[in-house]
Amino acid sequence: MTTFFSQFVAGISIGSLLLLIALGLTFTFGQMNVINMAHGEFIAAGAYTTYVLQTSVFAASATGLAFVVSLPVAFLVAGLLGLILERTLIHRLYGRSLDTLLVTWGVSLLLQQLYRDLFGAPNVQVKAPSWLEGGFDIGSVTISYARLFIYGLVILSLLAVWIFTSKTVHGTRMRAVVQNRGLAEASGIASAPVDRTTFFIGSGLAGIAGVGITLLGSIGPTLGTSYIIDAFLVVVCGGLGQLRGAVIAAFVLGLLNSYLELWTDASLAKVILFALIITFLQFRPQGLAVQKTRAFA
Amino acid sequence: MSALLQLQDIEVDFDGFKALNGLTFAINKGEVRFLIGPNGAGKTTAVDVITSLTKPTAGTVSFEGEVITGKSEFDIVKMGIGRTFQNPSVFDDLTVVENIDLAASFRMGLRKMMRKRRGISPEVAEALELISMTDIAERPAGELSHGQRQWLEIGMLLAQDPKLLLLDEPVAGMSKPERQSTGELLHEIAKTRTVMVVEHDMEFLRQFASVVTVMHEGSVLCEGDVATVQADPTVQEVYLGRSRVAAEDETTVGA
Amino acid sequence: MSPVTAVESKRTPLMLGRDLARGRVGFLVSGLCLLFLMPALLTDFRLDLLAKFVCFAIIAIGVDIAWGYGGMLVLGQGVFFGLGGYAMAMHLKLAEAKELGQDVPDFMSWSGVEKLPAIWGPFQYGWVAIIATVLVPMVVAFLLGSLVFRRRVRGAYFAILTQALAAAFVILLIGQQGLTGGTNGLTNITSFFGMDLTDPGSTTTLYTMAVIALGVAYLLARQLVHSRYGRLLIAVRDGEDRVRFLGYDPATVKTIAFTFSAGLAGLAGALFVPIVGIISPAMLGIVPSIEMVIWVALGGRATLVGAVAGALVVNYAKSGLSEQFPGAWTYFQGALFILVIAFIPAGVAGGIRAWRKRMAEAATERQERAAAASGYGETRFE
Ligand SMILES: Nc1ncnc2c1ncn2[C@@H]1O[C@H](COP(=O)(O)OP(=O)(O)OP(=O)(O)O)[C@@H](O)[C@H]1O
Ligand SMILES: [Mg+2]
Repeated sequence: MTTFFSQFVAGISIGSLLLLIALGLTFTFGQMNVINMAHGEFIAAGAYTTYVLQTSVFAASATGLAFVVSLPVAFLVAGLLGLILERTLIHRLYGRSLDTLLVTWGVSLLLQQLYRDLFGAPNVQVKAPSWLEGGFDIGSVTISYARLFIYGLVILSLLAVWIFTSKTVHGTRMRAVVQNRGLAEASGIASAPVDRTTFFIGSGLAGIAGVGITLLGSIGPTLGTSYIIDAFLVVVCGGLGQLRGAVIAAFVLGLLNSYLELWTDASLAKVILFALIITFLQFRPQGLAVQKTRAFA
Repeated sequence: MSALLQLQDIEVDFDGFKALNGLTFAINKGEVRFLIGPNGAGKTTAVDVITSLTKPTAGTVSFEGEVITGKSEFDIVKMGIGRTFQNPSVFDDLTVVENIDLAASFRMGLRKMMRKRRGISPEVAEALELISMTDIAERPAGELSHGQRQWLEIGMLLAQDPKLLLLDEPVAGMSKPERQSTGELLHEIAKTRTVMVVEHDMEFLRQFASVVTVMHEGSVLCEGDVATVQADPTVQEVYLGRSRVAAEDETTVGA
Repeated sequence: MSPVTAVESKRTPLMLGRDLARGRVGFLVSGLCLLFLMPALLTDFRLDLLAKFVCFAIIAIGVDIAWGYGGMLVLGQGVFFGLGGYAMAMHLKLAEAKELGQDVPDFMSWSGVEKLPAIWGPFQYGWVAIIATVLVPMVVAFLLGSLVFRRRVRGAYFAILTQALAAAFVILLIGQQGLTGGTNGLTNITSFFGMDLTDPGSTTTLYTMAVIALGVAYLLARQLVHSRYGRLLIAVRDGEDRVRFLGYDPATVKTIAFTFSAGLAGLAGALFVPIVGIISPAMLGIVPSIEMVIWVALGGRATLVGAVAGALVVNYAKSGLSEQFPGAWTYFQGALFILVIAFIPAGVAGGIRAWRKRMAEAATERQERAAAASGYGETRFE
């Protein structure tokens, strides 16, 4: 029973991290059909922002403050990186979704090497604020405050994204452009600024995820690569651009991963998970939540 | 069940919007059926349902007495129903003759498909001849004009040699002389085949139709030969004012 | 109608004969000659390197069939390469153990495995291993392809799935230390069906084998793309949904191409192992897999010669640059992805092809203008 519960907690933790990353992807991949392979490096940008603020901007005594400040700053840094990427490369590749994948892979290589040159190849450690040290017990399972903070971060980000897409003017415009670019433009919505904002926010969310990840261990130039594929799988299984689908998929994948590792071992778990995803796609090839558009015109 | 094609109580629901609502009609062998109706009446959707591009929420389609709803698009083609698309969609990177040859080869076994095409087979040559593209057979389809692409679509359809041809607005966007020659082409095609044409052009309709089915808001409004349909007051009501071509025809109807 | 029928009936099943007759394979022949001359020109070390790149060129042909011609972006080609490589290495390790009178290969006894695992059993037999190097990748690709393509999972979704497959495969290989040699992989492969790989003379033999395999792969691929099926594959790439209304199942068309490309990768893996003497997870993960795509992209997607040339050139550049400046190579590679895909998507060969076409068009235009000027062109437009 205890292992069952501890695996549950572990699964939820994996799931919430995946969701945090996939949230950004629901913007860039889901709304704009851009497969941004550099999303992982935007996560790393967020993590390194925290590191830089902590080591070079704030005093050593102000670790906690530095951490809190790094949330908005990381959002901006990663968002700006995304904006630059969109303006310089991606905007000329709309409609060539597979090509954006390859181009952004190149960007991801460049950024990884840049991080190596700037911060060194070995991992660096970000200090967690003192008020996030320790944890509390439920039965025999300890939940650290750091984990709890990440849960909170996920819930807040989710809420913000939901309000943004469904309650703001920009969100409405964004959905209009997604559903029918031509028609949206014809009804006076310029799609270029919408694309820019969408990409900015999607990338910014990666920065937030990066800050959260610093709580879980040391960070390095290839930090993003370990999460990015699973996060893309969340979007694939959840259904393109669907918040509800992404939430369910993230937690189901997280929990499955954690229980499968218990049942077999970590390496077999990955293969079984892959097989399960292929099986799932047999029944729901478009993921959990399907957005209907005219099939072929 | 002597009809070649039978649509029975077809219903298509797009998120609450009923594009087809109890659509029922039949086409007999040898007919040249025209399907007309105002924009958004559901004509293209009806063609989509017959060819399985859209799955109906209710109702059945049968072809030669066999229910075909739920079959895959390519199985329906193999049974002998072919179609064109309102927006011509040909393969730009292939030449004209390659486009037609692919359309003609779907019954071929895999072993034969793995060989290179040698020369031009009689069916393909005939299709090329009919659409007058023998001279430009080696041109990439991407270089064709809009009208030529529509013709190429028709050529591909002919090369498939289907029992039933569905043409979705074959003259849309064409110039007057182009319409004229398309009409003659259609006339030629219809001599030996069963054809259903979705069309707005009234002149066209009067020239070629044997039976006309008028659709409105997803179901059949009226059906009959050209004169009957044009004299029908309900048809005039839904059509007049909505379609310029129909309005111009008023005098003809009155005469 | 009769002349047409006559042409139809005069089929030659393979193109090679006709091509030879028309001298069209000049390119191929001169390429092969050049490759066959290499042993005389290069040091053993360089020749060994080139042999490795020739294996990569075989992979590139497969990637080109799947992606360049079929539009399926495969980001997990390393998996098929690895399956072929491991199948071959398993046999070679077993043969070596047998020679030494041991029950299990060296790495197994290091990690405490004393009894040969069941999955290794069949690989005692050389012919099983040789067949498996090509067949196992093809079976995996066939299963995956028929499952996902039938459900119309495609484009980016498919790319991501293949990448996830590569990730899972590598984790599996690393995790099952006792079965696969873990992170190190299968190492110290010193003999190949009785041939001593430490003997310098072996390099030329292996190289020649690789070049022959490349030639065969090229001819097969050429036959494939020029056949009706090849045209159909292009049609599926450009309009999968439209193809259904021509009476074909795109899922079948794609599965065939994907399976073929996996078979080529497996073949390349089998040749790679004796040449390099090792196969490890680092050679077939996500990063190597996506590199296989850039070879084709640079050379020119949907041109076979481009794919082969791309694989050779990129790998030469890599071995030259990355030895001296590893960091610079990463920058260079990143820039390569960006520049090629965003700015010359047709690749070098595609660029040359377009340029040639423009020249030819300009030439005809000049001719026509000249003809019109002299009054001959007038009857053309009646
Ligand atoms: N995938 C879809 N989702 C939602 N609504 C759709 C979809 N496809 C068609 N419709 C709607 O169904 C109705 C019927 O469309 P259809 O294309 O069949 O009309 P039509 O008679 O062919 O019109 P036209 O003469 O303009 O070609 C239209 O109102 C259209 O907007
Ligand atoms: Mg229509």
